Amino acid sequence: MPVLSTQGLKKHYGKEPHIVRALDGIDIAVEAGEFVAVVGMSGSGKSTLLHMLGGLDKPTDGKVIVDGQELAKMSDEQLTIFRRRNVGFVFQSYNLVPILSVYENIVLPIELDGNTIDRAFIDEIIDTLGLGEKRDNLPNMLSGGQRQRVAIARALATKPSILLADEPTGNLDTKTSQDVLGVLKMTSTKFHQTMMMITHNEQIAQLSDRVIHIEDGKIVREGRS
Amino acid sequence: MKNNNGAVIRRLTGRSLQSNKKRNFFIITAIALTTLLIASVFSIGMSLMESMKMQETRLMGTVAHAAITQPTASQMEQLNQLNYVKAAGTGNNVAFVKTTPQMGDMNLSLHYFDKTEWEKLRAPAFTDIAGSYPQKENEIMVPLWVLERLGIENPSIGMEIPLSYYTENGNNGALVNEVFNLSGWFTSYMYIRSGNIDSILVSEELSQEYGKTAEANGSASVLFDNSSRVLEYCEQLKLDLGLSETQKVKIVPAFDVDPGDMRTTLIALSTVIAFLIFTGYLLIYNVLYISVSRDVRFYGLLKTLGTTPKQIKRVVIGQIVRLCIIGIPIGAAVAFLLSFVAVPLFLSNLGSIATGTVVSFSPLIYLGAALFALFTALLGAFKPAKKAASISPIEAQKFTGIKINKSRVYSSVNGKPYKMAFRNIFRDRKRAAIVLLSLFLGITTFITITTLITSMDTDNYVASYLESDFMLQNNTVMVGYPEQKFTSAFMDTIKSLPGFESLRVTTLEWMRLDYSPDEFGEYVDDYIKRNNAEGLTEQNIYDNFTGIIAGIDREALTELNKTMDKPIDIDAFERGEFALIATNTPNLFENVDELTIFPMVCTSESGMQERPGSEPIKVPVGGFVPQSFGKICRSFAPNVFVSNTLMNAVYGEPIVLKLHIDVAQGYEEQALDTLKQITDEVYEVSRQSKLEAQEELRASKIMLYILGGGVALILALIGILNFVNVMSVGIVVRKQELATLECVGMSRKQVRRMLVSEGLGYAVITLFFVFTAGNAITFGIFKLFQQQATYAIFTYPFIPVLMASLAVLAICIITPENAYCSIYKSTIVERLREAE
Repeated sequence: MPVLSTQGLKKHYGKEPHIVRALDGIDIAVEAGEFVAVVGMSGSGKSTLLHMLGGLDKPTDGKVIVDGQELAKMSDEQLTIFRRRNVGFVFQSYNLVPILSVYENIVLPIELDGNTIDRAFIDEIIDTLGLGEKRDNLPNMLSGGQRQRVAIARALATKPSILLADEPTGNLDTKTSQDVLGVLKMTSTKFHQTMMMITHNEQIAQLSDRVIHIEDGKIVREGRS
Repeated sequence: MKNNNGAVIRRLTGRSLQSNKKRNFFIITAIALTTLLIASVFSIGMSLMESMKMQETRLMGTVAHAAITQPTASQMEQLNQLNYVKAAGTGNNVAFVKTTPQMGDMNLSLHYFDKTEWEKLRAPAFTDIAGSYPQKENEIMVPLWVLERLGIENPSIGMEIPLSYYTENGNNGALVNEVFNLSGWFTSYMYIRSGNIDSILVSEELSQEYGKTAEANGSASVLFDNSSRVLEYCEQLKLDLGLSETQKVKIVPAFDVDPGDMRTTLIALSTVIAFLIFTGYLLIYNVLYISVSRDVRFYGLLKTLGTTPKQIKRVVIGQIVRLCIIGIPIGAAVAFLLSFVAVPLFLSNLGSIATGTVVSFSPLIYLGAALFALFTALLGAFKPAKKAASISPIEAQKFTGIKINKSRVYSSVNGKPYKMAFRNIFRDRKRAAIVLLSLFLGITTFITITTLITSMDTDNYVASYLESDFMLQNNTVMVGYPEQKFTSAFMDTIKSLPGFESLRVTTLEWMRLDYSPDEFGEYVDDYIKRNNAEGLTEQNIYDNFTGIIAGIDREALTELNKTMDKPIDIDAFERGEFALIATNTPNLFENVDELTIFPMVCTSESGMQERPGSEPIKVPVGGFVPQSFGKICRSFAPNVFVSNTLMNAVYGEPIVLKLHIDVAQGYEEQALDTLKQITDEVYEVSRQSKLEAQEELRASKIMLYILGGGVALILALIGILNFVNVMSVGIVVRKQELATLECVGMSRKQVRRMLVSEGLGYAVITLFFVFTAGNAITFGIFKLFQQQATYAIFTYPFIPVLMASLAVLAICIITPENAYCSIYKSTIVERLREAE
């Protein structure tokens, strides 16, 4: 059974005749531990897809099922709680909370949920991502690459059903990008973490297990890399 | 080459303004409030000055600067020729009105003024002038207060008024009874200053009938062209007119101003203005600074496109100037409207203006306020402008409006919203400090003002100058026609007052002390020095060493004894074994062991005489009481106090001057009603009561409350505006950050709890400082205030403080709630994308 699946997912903005079909009938299924890349041009609808999968936005039609639960049936409050337990986000612009230290940023979703922190696991993540020395620093003291690693660590911390990464290397130079992608790939394998990454860069997409191509809100091509 | 880029800068300025409507609102409000406060301070100051000036004029009864006694006709002619004399008129005394007991304590003369004197110099110092100046021999014009004393409440032109007058001073000359026709009346204020001395105005015809002229019986009053050179002109006059030795130039006393007083007022005013500018500055600076921080990308972009730092400064400063153009007139207009109501209220409550108040609408007030407000705004804009100008275009691109000063943290938040809130407050320490300071100042001012007002204890104040519940005074004694008003029948009525508890009697008679230079030499020398009464022979002194002897009850001394180093033996005093001398310098009486008192009598017919059939008595001096004891006026010989027992023994039935009456608690009102019935129609008896004095004070206290509270509220409002701005902008700027928090699973409830905790944090910190440092400041200011107002008792205004605290808490909670709601209008996806 797939960890993540969509059935006839549609997202339309506006009304006829000016209707914009950001997503127009998407069917995907992602298996546990799989690393999937979604590739498309700017405006192809890939970000909208990610928002739908993460429960940030509601579809016009169709279903999103994560870990056996249908997101459309949840209230805002339920969605938030679902998100912090089951979905990890990595954004292009890192989106770290500036008043919280590296460690606090990483454990924030766990603490928001009121759970006890699995310290050994968190330490393992921090070590794996090479953030040990920066543990108590505030994000403004970190480089772009380091910030993105913190974001990845935060996304991994709750052991989510799925990790969604939206252009995770969009703000980074080539070398750092390689580095961050390596980390993503490595953690995916090491923690058997299901991941979906959005990018417009074919080369980066090649690092994943499977690539889905989107154009005008529709899947045009799909294949193993 | 010079290019004209004014137009594009103006356009940028205008567009910037349009896109920051909320910020504009805050700045305009700040400017308007600052203008309002400064204009109000100026308006009160100017109005006070003008009212005091008017009061001086009215109390003097003339607008003239100086007077020349007994001017000759040729001198008058010369006077009118002098280029520094604006106007000169003459007036002379015609006769002296015989006061009837019904008229009570007053000293009236019939006086004639020539046309210039009346129209140009006198009439402007009077108000409510009705009718016209007397033309016919039997016409008079009377001050309203005199008419009232004559029992005329509703005067009419032509009504008949009978008067008796002496044609010469000192009750000499013929006593004439005449029925006059009233030709007019006016409100005169002179009597307030002079102790009920005033004039009834008569015609030239009557003056001539008795052969009175300015040269013989009058003076010329002179108005100069410049009031600041009065002293100089007076010297000039002596030379120019060739005044004889007996002629004097007298300066109207209003023009002796004490520069020390002015300086204190000026310092106080400057402090208040500086404080207002500072609070206004805090708000304007903060609002602009935040606005510039938010617009960093905009200014960075401008710079990338080639706008020079100077031009960017012009854009920022230009915005503030345009906002001033809106804010200042609003503030000035509100101040203008307010001054109709608030200024007269304020002035009349200061208690120093007795002759009516004027509200000043001098353009200086509004010009000054506008300048100071503009100064405040520019001061507030200067640093933000500099910041906008110095933004690096590269950094600006990456700028997110979120500033963190720290690099590491040493405590943990554990995902607790309130702990995150606390860190958020101090994210930008400088901004937090400004907001906290602004709120702190506002609330502390509010508490200080309410403390001062509630501390003004009316009961204590009244008790400090009124010794008993009621005091009745026989005014005939003061006029010099003593008449026993408080007869034994009257006393019996008093004793039957509801709740009557005690009655203290002060009696008063005249006496002559046996003078010898050995005993009283030092005292007389001192007296002569103080009163410029030189040229007295020993015989003169001996003959005129007369004064007042007053009889008091033992209770009058009990209170006094508490403060005396050497207490008086009250029992011995009561038995008449010694007398007390009223003086502040007892060492002048070192050689006086015993007083030889000759009882005297003073009547309207024959003046001061030895009391027929009485013998001098010898009384040892038993001690001293303060000069002001018993509030009895002073004569050549020192005032002497003996017991009423002794008074009765020497004078038989001495005149009773004052009655101090105390009634049991709770009976004050009833007793007052009864006393009103007994004394209201009797002009010779005046009444003071604690109850009436307290009521009067209470009314003015409420007025002070409203006015002081108004100022305090505006200041508090500035602080609160500052907070509201910082808080709501702070939340809007963090829109994306908050969206992130939601992405990673912070529920709306948690976000809200964090934001509300932030607001609460500000409130709690502010209140903490208010209740520690703020209260210390309040107490310090109260101590300063108490030095002026000794009757004040420190009273902490618990209820207003509680209300203010609750208001602060409420605002600190509502503001983040509001801001939160406004950002939640857009969806999380929109908010996430916005920054990209």
